[in-house]
Amino acid sequence: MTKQELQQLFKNEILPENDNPYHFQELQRASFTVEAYNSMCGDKYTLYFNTNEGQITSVYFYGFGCALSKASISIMCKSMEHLSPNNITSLSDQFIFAMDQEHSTENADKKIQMLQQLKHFDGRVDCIKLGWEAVKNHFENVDL
Amino acid sequence: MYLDNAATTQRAQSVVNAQSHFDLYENANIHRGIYDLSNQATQKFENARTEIARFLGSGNANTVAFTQGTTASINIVAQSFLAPRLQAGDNIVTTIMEHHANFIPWQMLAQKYQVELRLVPIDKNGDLELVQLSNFLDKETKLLAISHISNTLGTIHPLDEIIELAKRKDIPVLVDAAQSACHFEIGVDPLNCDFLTFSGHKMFGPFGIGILQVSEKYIADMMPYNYGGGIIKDVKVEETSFRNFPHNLDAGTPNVSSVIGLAAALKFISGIGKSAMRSHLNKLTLYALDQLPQVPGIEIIGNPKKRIGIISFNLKNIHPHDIASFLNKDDIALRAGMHCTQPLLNAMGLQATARVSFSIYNNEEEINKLVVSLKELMRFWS
Ligand SMILES: Cc1ncc(COP(=O)(O)O)c(C=O)c1O
Repeated sequence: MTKQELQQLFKNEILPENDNPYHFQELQRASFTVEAYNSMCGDKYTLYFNTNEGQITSVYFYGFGCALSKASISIMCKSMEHLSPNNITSLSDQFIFAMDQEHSTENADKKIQMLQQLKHFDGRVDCIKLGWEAVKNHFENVDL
Repeated sequence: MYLDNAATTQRAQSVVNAQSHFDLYENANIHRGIYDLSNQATQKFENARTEIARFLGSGNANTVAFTQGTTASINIVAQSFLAPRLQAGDNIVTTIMEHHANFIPWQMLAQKYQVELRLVPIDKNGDLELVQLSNFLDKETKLLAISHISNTLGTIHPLDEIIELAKRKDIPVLVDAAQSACHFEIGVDPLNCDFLTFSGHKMFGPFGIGILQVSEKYIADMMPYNYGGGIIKDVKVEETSFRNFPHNLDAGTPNVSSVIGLAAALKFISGIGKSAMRSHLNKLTLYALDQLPQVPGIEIIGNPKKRIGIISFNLKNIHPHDIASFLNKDDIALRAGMHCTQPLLNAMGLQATARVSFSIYNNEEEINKLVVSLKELMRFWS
């Protein structure tokens, strides 16, 4: 990525999401929470999930981290609303898989697709995966 | 433009040459062969030990053990010296500012042996609270472990004063000299400490080699901590007797070519002179502290009485990772994150910082470029 491409990426995609993150607020009450923490760099978020009859009705998040981790979690929260836990598991699985493997994968959601195209962003892939990994691990470890 | 010297320095040409010469023409296992090649390798290896002892102001090469680095050296002291003498109710004193390498080994011992871990706090400037440190040291203190220079804030601790406090109570002192070995006069004798640890790769030397120097007072207390060939006097089926320190630590084949590289690095440093290095780093540090405040929204972390070579900072609303990604595009290598000092950052209410750290090959022009890049980033972001 050239400097110009980096600037374009941040200007057009990352900073708008970072400056106006989706559902970025602390909740006093939620059906359950998931911690997303990277001990190497200190990025730390709490994800708040609200459910109704097994469906995820809304997802909020709050915490501190870089523009990339925050933008990525913002996009993730939005994409996970109104899904069943099973669908969330497969969505996060697919995302991590897409980030980890060599050839590119398509995602219908434009913003998720944009994130997936950043899988060669040196040193920053962990920032992008942070929230997704946390959700994946959470749902893998609970009985659905 | 490389501003991450606290993580590792660039290798000196003479170090690379010394190592490759050994690898190409002099390679043999040591302390084993009867043939010339092995004898020569052994001699070079042991000569390096003597040169390193001299570099540390000591005429006794038997105070010097080779390890994999600072982290390994500290863990060896924890396992080989400290663990056998701990009893419930004892305490270990260290500081909130330490690198994880000089924190976690003590925390683990404290948990295992029901020993109290006492952490000296810092004031708002990033200096240690010395009164608190003095109060922490008592009859039950089995070790004071402290760094010479903080790898996050660049604070130079007043070691003379601190070690004097411990020595008055006959408490052994470990100094983590990872950030100072390159350009300060160090050694268990000059510093009057008991354990000194540092890494070759932070002083123009190779990866994978470090030093543990032990004062003559405690040499006999260093027990083997892993077992194998090279460290034994006599092996019988019923029992094994071991050689003395430092030969009781290096079980197995040591990293001979890195030892030779490290000796070359010390020669390189002596050639330039530590005081010349210090004054260059001082000049750069002061220049950077003078210039960086031009950047709108910058916050320099800490304002310690004495600091050298390392400056942490934050920019308003821009995470250190994003700073590092953008500066990378201007070919500036700097560090972002917690710098393996999570307790320190937590104590200062910080999640992460950006950090620049200088070495002898950096110059003021590079600091000007850094300032220009940071200003441009602030403009872009807002
Ligand atoms: C103060 C301090 N102590 C210990 C270490 C660990 O050194 P190594 O990784 O070479 O073992 C470092 C390295 O960053 C350091 O700066």
